[in-house]
Amino acid sequence: MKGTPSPRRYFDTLHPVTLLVYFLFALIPAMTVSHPGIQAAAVLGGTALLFLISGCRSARTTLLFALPAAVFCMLINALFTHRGITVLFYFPTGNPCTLESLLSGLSLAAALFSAVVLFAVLSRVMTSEKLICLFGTVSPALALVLSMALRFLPHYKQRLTDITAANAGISSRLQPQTAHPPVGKEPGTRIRQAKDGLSLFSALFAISTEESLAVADAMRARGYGCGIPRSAYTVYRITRRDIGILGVLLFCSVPLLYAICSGALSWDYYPYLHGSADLRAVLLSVCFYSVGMLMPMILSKVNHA
Amino acid sequence: MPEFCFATDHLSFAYPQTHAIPSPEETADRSAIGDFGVRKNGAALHEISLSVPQGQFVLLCGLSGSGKSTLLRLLKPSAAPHGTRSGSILFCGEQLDTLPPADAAAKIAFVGQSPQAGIVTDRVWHELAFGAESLGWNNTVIRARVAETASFFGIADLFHRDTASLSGGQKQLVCLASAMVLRPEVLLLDEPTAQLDPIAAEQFFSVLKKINTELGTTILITEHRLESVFPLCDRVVVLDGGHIAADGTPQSVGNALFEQNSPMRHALPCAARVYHAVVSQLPHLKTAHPPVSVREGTGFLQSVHAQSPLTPPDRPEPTTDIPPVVLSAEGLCYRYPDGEEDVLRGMTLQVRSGDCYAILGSNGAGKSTALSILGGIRRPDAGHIDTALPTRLLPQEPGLLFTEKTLRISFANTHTNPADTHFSEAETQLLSFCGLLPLMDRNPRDLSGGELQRAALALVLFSLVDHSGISTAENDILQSLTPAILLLDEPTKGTDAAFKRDFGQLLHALRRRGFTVVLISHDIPFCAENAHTCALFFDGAVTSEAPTAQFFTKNRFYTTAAHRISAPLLDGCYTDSDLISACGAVPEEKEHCFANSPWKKESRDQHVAHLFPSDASIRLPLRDPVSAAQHEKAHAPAFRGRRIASAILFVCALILFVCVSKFTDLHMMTEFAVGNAALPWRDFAWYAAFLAVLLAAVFTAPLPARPPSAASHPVKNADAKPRRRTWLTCVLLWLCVPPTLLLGMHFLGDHGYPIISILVLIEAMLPFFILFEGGKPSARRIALIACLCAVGVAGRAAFFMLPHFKPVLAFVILIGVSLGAQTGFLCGALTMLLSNMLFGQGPWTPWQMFAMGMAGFFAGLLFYRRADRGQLSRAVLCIFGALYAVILYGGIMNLSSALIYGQTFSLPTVLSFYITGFPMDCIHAGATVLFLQVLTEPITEQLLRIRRKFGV
Repeated sequence: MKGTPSPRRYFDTLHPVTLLVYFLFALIPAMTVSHPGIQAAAVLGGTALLFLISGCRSARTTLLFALPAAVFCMLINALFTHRGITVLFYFPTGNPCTLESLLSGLSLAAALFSAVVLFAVLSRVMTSEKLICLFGTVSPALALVLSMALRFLPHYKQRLTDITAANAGISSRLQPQTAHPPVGKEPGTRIRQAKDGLSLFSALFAISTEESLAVADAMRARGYGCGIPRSAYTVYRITRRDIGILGVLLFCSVPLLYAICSGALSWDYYPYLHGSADLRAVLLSVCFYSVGMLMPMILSKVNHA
Repeated sequence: MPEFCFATDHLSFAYPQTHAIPSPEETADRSAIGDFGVRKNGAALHEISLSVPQGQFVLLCGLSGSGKSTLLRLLKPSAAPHGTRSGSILFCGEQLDTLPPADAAAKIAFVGQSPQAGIVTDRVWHELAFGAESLGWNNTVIRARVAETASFFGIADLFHRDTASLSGGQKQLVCLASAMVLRPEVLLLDEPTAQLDPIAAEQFFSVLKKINTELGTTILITEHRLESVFPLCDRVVVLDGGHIAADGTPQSVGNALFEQNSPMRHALPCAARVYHAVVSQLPHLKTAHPPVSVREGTGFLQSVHAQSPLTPPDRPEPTTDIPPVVLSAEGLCYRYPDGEEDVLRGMTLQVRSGDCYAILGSNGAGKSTALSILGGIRRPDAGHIDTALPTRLLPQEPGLLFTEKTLRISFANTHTNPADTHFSEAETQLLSFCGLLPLMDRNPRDLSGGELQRAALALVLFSLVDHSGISTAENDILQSLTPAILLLDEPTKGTDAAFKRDFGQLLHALRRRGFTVVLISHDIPFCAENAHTCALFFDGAVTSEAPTAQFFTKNRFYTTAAHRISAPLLDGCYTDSDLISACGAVPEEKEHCFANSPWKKESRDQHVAHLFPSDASIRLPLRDPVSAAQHEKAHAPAFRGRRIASAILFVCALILFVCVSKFTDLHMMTEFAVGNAALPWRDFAWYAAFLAVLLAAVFTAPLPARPPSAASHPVKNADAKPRRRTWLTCVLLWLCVPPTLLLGMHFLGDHGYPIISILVLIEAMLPFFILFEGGKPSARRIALIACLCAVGVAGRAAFFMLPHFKPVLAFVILIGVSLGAQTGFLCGALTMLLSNMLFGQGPWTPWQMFAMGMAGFFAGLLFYRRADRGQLSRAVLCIFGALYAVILYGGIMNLSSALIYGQTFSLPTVLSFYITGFPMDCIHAGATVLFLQVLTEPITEQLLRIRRKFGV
């Protein structure tokens, strides 16, 4: 078959609700569970997802931001938390730097890293259309406001260009010349430019507010506010694929929840490293979590193998 | 089925008197050229009795101010202007007033003239579904109808497109399609093609005809482009001064107009004009069917030719003296910075002194870009331009030039000292020459397209006044002007025939003085009348440049209607006077037919998009939400029972409160939270019981009885009050915050802070959104909030390179001050949500939303009333802004950083984040103060104007 659709394409075909549930499934354990097994799974899975969805280039940009943040977090923890019994060395202030605080810092850093990475993937995948669709199910007015704001934004950019060009065209440059200076770089002080910028902004503001009310009249003409509760139309439909994925996620989350509640995944760094000794439960929950997180990738490959 | 779709009976309408007595200036000023009129009174329609049968295609035409737009808008309840109305309007046999709003929206569709203002959402599919959503249809039905309509209109390939990327014609088609999704019975169109180029207009009309023939929808349309619409419609109604001047088939209306000698006869299609002019002098050429279209005109000419041969017009020999070249462009090449193809490919042109040079061509070919290069706004990639005179470029939208409150201030800004609003003798004469003196103190937003175009021209001429002491002769103000090259971009877009005539005379006067005019236009008749040289712009260059007569007579498609009528028979005719003289009659004198006629009225701002009708229109008396039935319910006998029950519950709640304060221990709760103690079940039970009883008491208390208010009182705020259930939900959510904190801290411990904080924030913000939703916000409120959010996001993006130096906080504070606490919160929260949606989400989004929303909320709480009374002090606002930026906004954001990065709730960590964040907060505070200083006046003034004018 020509060209396996990329995982990105696969995500695009999913309903926003499925996407939301998927990201909640991936994010919540990553941010709340302190067991290193789950955290490692979250970090690795998140990075894999990032590279698969965003492509190498923007993945690298995200990592450039996420890694220093994680390191920063670790350092903060090491500097400010002095609990723990294994002392490595003493700071000039007299406070000890303990192994436990370092490891706990590492754990928090991992949580932060996976959160940032997963949010980056979420931004890529959850387009404004899908987000508005999600809002529309709960609050149609809010979804409408967002949709209209998105419609106004490029329009105002264009208007600003138009206003600038219009004002440039009638400015008094009386000298006939062959080469005209480009607009915006008129000789003049910074203050003059700032003043021009301000008058341009107030012009844009006046025009845009009045235009928005013209749009409101068009809305009323099309039936807005006629007393009937508003519905929200979406182009997305729940397909069998969505139900399948939701089912799998549910299935994977049950053992995970059970493990968390029963304490099989408990792990604490203070005053010394200790946690659950039930290796089998830990392994199982990590497996289910990883499967749940990487499942769309697997499915996208399987579908078109 | 009732026979008539619409039937009006002695319908009269008058706008409220806004200018009571015309000032002496207005009455005394009669300029040489200008189409102003003194606003005599507010009456717009007099005793109109019109019956429109089902399925008819009716054209309403008339000069500006004749009342055609008013009549059309009165037929659509939600677009009806505000004023006094007498007489009745029946829709399908029932009074239009009694039609339920849902039916009015579904059965009567309205399409306005501005494609920009008609598009509401950001995607075409959403646009098509908008009306159906408003009527509450479910997903399946909407999907089916939208699919069917999109296929019928042939816009299925545009379905997922961004509305911003559509052309004007496509936008107008989408507007039409989305109106048709609701399957209306009648379609009302108010100059739908005013902003479109001729090709898009033709497409639009053919779609309209298709709708009328294939679906049987009744169509009422007002138009100025009579040439295209006359052959399509079944019936023409000509309005003049609020009366019906003529009513009948397109053929018979021409007869009536010529008999009455009305100035509307000059607006008729070319074939009709020629026929009636010829037949009035040579009655033996009369036929049974007066021609209306080009084809019929050719038929008529053939019949004339059969009786006596047509004589071609003789043109005077071209003069031998050739004026010098003032503008010459050689080999211009240009490509947009992000474009893929060249827009200009080696464009070359030469314009001679005193010439009127018209550049014609299809839409989107690059003519405006070429003009902006000639005007010096853009630099060409290759080629060069020589100008012997200064150039001035008038934009397509003259409204963009007038950014001040009144015209007077805009003109005063051209002085070296902008505060000096005194105009010299020369300048005053210029203003009267352009017919602007009565309009000087009006807000530019309230002026029509023609008025703005004249004002733009006057603004340009102001800059060309030569102040070097030349004494101005009594009647020749033009002598004091420095000749220049005027570049006009579509000067006659959306204007009527009267304005075009007068504007042409204006240009002629300027050219006699030595000005040269280069104009871009789609308006072929205008160019045929006024241009000396015409050129066709195609494929990035000027092709086929020729003197006007030669240009139009050599072209077969891109030419005047007169030439298309006569081309099979005769060579060399391109105006109707040519045709008339070719038939052997004498053409009418070209005169200022419109300037001084009693038919002329002040134009009523119907032409240009993005403008509002003046204060007098579109302000509905709002309906009273409390109907009689609800009052019946309130006075039922169960009323008293609820009162007693509620009182008892309140007493119980009071007792429980006393118990709670005595028996429970808050210290135990904090111990539990920190993890040192077990869950104090008993204390929780007491608290829960108290809350439950309190809520039950609140819920059972009955509504206080409200007297029925008169339905005609216009209410200040159009939104419904949120119901009590909504308030309850909000209170419950706020009450959830402490339990969430406690439970989360207990169960999740150290790792839980990010999640808990996000949950708490969401619980804190949700009530605001719920109140907004529950308040059933009006269309204007939603549109205004969306507009302000978009401006806020744009402002944030504009300063993206400067960290922490952002205008958003100042902007949100000003919104809260001008529009109230709730709007302030919404705008703040949604601005942050939206900009994060566009520029990258993060766990910090709820924090930013909360912090910014609270800024608007507190600003509204503290300053809204004061601003209303006019007691706002900028210094106090700046202090508030600075304090908020450092203490609250900085506090919240630093806390968020501590929780997200530090992930502990210990005091040292949090303090360290505050300390390191303090310099950034100071930058933020400084930026806020700066922006508040600068933006307070324009923003609060504009929002106040909006509130006053539109009752938002």
